[in-house]
Amino acid sequence: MSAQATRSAARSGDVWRQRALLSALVVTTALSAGGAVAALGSTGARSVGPLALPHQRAKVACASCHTTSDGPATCVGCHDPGQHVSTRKAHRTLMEKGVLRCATCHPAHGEAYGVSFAGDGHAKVFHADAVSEIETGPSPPKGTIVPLVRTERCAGCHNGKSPADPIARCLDASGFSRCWDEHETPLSPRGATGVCKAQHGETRYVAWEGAGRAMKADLPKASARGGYEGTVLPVSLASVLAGALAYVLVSRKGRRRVAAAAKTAAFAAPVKRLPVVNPVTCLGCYACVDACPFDVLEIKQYVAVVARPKDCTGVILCEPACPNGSIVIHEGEAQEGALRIDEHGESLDARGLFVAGDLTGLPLIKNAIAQGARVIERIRERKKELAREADVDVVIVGAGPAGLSAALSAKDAKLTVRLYEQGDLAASIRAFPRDKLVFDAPLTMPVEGPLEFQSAKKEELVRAWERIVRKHGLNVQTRTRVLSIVKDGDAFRVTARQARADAPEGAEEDHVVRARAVVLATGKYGSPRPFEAEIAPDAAPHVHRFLSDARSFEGKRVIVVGLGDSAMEAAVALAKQPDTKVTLVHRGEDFARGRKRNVDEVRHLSTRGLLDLRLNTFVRKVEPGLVHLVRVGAHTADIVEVDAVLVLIGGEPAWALAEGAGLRRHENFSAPRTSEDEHLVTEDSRGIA
Amino acid sequence: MARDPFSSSLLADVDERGKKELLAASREVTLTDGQLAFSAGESGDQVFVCTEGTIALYVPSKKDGKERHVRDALPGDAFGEEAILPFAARQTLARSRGKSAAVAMPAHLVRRALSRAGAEEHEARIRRSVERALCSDVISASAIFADLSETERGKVVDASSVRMLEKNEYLYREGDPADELFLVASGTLTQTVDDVGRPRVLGYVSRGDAVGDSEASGKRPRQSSVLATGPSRVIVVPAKVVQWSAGKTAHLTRLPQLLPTAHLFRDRHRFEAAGSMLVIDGDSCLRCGQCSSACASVHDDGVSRLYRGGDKFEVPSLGATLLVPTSCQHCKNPACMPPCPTGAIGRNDALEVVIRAELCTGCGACEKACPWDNISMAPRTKDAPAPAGLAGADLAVKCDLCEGRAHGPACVVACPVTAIARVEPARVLPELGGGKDRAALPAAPRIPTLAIAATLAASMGATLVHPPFRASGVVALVALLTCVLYMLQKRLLFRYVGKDSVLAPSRGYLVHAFTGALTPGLLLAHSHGHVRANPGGIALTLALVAGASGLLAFALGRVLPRAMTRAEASSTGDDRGPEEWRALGVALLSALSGKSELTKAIFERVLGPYDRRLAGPMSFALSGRTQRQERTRLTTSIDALLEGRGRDKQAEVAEVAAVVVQRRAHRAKTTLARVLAGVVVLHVLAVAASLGLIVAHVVEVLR
Repeated sequence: MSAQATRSAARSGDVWRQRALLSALVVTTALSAGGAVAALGSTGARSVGPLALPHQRAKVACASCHTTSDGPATCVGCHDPGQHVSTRKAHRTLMEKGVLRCATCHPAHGEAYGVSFAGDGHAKVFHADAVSEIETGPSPPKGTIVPLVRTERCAGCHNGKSPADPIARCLDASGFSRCWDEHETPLSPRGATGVCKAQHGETRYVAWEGAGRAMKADLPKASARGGYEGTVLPVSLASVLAGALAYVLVSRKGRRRVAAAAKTAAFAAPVKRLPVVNPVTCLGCYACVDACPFDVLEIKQYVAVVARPKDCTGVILCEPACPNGSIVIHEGEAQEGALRIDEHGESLDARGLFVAGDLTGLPLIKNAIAQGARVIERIRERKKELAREADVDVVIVGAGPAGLSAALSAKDAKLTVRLYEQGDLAASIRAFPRDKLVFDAPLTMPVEGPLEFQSAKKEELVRAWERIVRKHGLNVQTRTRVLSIVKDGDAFRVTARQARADAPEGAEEDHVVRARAVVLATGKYGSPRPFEAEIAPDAAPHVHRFLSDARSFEGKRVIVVGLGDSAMEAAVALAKQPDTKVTLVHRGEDFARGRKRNVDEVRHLSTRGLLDLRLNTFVRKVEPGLVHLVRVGAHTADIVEVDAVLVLIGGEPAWALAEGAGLRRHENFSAPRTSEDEHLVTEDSRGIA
Repeated sequence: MARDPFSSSLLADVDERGKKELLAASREVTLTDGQLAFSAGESGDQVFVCTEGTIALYVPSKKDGKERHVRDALPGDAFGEEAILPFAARQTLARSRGKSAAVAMPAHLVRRALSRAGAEEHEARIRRSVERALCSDVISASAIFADLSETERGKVVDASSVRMLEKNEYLYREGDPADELFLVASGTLTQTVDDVGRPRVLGYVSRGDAVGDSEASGKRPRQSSVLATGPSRVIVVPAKVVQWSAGKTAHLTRLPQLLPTAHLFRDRHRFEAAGSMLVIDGDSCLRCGQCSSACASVHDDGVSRLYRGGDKFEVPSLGATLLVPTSCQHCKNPACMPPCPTGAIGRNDALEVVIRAELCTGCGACEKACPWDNISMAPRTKDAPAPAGLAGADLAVKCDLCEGRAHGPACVVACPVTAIARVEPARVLPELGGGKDRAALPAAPRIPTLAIAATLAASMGATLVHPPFRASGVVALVALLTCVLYMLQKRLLFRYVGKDSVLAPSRGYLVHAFTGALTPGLLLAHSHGHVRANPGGIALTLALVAGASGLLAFALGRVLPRAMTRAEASSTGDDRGPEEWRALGVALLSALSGKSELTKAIFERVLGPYDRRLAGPMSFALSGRTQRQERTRLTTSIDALLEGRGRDKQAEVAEVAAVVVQRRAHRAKTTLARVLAGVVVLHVLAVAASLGLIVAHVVEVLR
């Protein structure tokens, strides 16, 4: 319920993007405003640059200098123009014209520097917004003030770099002119010091030198431009970055996926659990029908009914889906024919023997993967209780989804593992028709362990698994059939026989290994169902038990035996190959079971003559290139020329192996039925997928 | 004195629960003299029971339009019961005689209740009469049987039957034996022929058209396949009857030949079914998401009923490309309505589809039933009504057309460029018989680009004067705040201003463009050209950055949407991008798997490098080619490379090329979307930082 709601709420990234933009706006505005105001508070400065400290102390208001709203500032209220004005003729002329002002050289904001000598070897250095006291050594008389004028201030008229410009002689690397306004042009280039001293006299010279020392001692420490570059710029940049971060965080919130649901039972319940629908309150809304991955429920007359109680695995996804509590779960007696295993998949009768996958009675690839991982987790927990002496920790029988998942988990858990497979890796998946989509329902079940599973085509899935197996360096012993598993003290003695590919037919190699634990992951089709036709020895290579790729039968004549979903899907896939002649043979009278889509497709192909559907017919004998087809009740056989026979009548679990190992079923177990109808049930590919 | 509606013979067997459900979902209708409860031909979804007065039922005659009186419904009588058949049209019209009252019940609930009560015979009886009337209507209107006499036609009707088809169900398939002729009574079907494994569309048939006629007279099997694009009904006339009738008439029965129409819409049924469809003009949509955002903010639960991603359709006759977002399209025959077990989904008097929270159990049946995912489940807010005991249950939500809000659908109002509108496709699309009027579809407003440019130039001119500081500062601040107000207007308008806005966001966008063009000049003039590293100076710099990025966003917004629309096959919302990209990766792998060596070599040499080229997506986006054109270009260049070799592998190569082009288009689309979104983010951040510093600037100036 809430997962659904989260999905739809998270659906629109647009909503979050707008929210993210607004948050970015708010965060950035707030931070830049707050930061800049705080910076103002700490420096006490003004926007146009901090006021020179004496001005600040004198509490000079803007209006006392800026008498008109946009006229030049006037200093005459406090400063005597007669006393302070420059003595240089050029300066005077410019001032009279109004081009040069006090503030041209001595701006009141931002860079009002000066050194004021106390007369006792100390001086005060006025920075933009602070005053520091330093020792200067020999100093001019008390009250001597050396104004510091930035050399850029002179740049309007002077070129400090040109030797022809008189000011050039008086500048050094400090960037400030320490000249006094009454100085005159040096007469001859006789070394700066001498010239200065000679020209301006002792007092001036001492003041010059003292100011130079004061600047060297202190200026670099003071913030050159009154604390703004130091604080406001970083503050605004930081606020922009914070805003960007807010944007990213908020907009990403909208993209967050629905969290994985809680773990569901990974093994079918040992007792029969069945949903019971209250027909009076049931709304007939299909919520439960859609929630059940096993097609147990159906809607009839607008009310949900438990149509296939046998298929109920007791995992119970329907109950939480019901909107108004019309489904209750009844726990009944022990499952008919259910394995005697505990909630970890361990046999109650042979400790150390585990079961995973379809064999447990719980279908779906996803469940098999989860079970494989769970079983290994349990083995790792119980390792100390299991046998001490053994060759390997765990032997896994079957390299399907469950077996692979178990083997990979075991490698991850650092258990020694041996994985036997009688066919190829993931043979049951390979046996699906080409391009079959392997669905990953139920979505609410999390996949555990390292084996990935997404909805994919079968080829992609098999390829992906092969990649994972290679990456983990897992050694799958394919074409190796486990002959027996025998309890040997605490451990199990497993005998397996490997068909050697490089040797002639019949050359085989036996393995015997002692294992602490055994995982049976042989699936539902561990042993193929017996095909009762007589097969001539040299015809055997033309009889196939599964179809891996319909394209290999291009242009061939093929007989498909069976009418379950896998047989129908195979026949349809074959019929679509160019020039492939397909005959579908079934002993029954009509379609007994199978998906509507498959039935429709077979009927359609049959009416178009693209597929020869023979009901009430069975195969009596297979000879090289020939097959004897017999109608039920008839005596004579119809001999048909074929290139291949595909026997798709399903298989049976490898019970003999399991029972030999000590696996038992609940008491009310009845032997598997072998009627035609039943083989269609087991053949249903839903069982595999 | 009102009668108990359940005294009606139709509803006599309904159980207590059914009565309760029906009462909860039904509504009372009072009719004045001469007022119609419904008229013939309209699709009905309600069953009426008269509770007061008299309601007379008439059948309008096909010939002269005169009404023939059928019967009177008196208190306790049900009428309009044919609605319990899915997609049945009204056979009669119901007119009140004097003042009367009736109870209108959702037809599908009546069907459920009757079915539970085991009263199938009612349904069967109604079905028979409705189907016969339908057969009669369609057969009389058909040109094939036009020359038959009334009685002869009656025989054809007797021999015919009605067949319902679900969406994507085949009427027949190529190669099937042909022994029937079909007349379409409702819905649309696609006629295709098999073209080497892929269906090639021959054309569409809809109400009144005949299909299967070319084979029904001869012995040939079906030459084509006919597939229902939506729930459809056809009248099945056996071939023998057709031959018999052909013998009866002297004239050669000529059927209007099915013209091979261009494939206009992938999902024509969707357009025909829609009563009010939200469409976006692809060439002007800025992909800003204001529509979704506005939707979320008008609803208390904050869940948007609108997801911007959806299908893309070309409307060649109007030269428009429409993006159809995921939002309820108020179907004429809502697929979500019948599955609702409690009748919570219904249609109001304006024929809009509504969900009543007080009946919704949150079961999700409608969500699954909607073919276009337009319904979603949202957490129910505390104030929302709920059925007894289900206060915490989810609620099905979908577009409610902003019911009860004066401004109309918020998404439409919110669009800054008026690129989104609600339309009835059947009326506005010439392909569906609508008028050829481009103005009926959404399109961007005329944006006076020149005027905006002039404003920008004028504001730059203002920098030459040195106005008084304080006054110019106030003016510049007002201008800047007006710019910012636009964002707040968009965000907050629907949430806190429940009534019609003084300024629709589309106007707001223009105002924003003008003020945005004006503000930088005002700020520069205020500064007298001094830019210092203090709050004022940095604020000015940032404001200029904001102005520049705004200008860029404006310019890109005029250019990029067109490029995006051409590049994308369907409009996916940005947040589904990663999903789509993953899917395309898988598609490429499976397109390559099991292919010939030649195909793989071509991938290695041509398609792989094409796929990996860094500048590829942008060059594709800016080329203005569609995916199809790009695909053709690519396959042509491969063909030139092969010089006639490997003709048999062309289909394989084309399959891989299609995926590679899709991947390039995806990257082009996402890059452009990111550019559009990114410029806006930069714009907002610059404005925000500038605004903050201006606060500091004002504080220090006033201090």
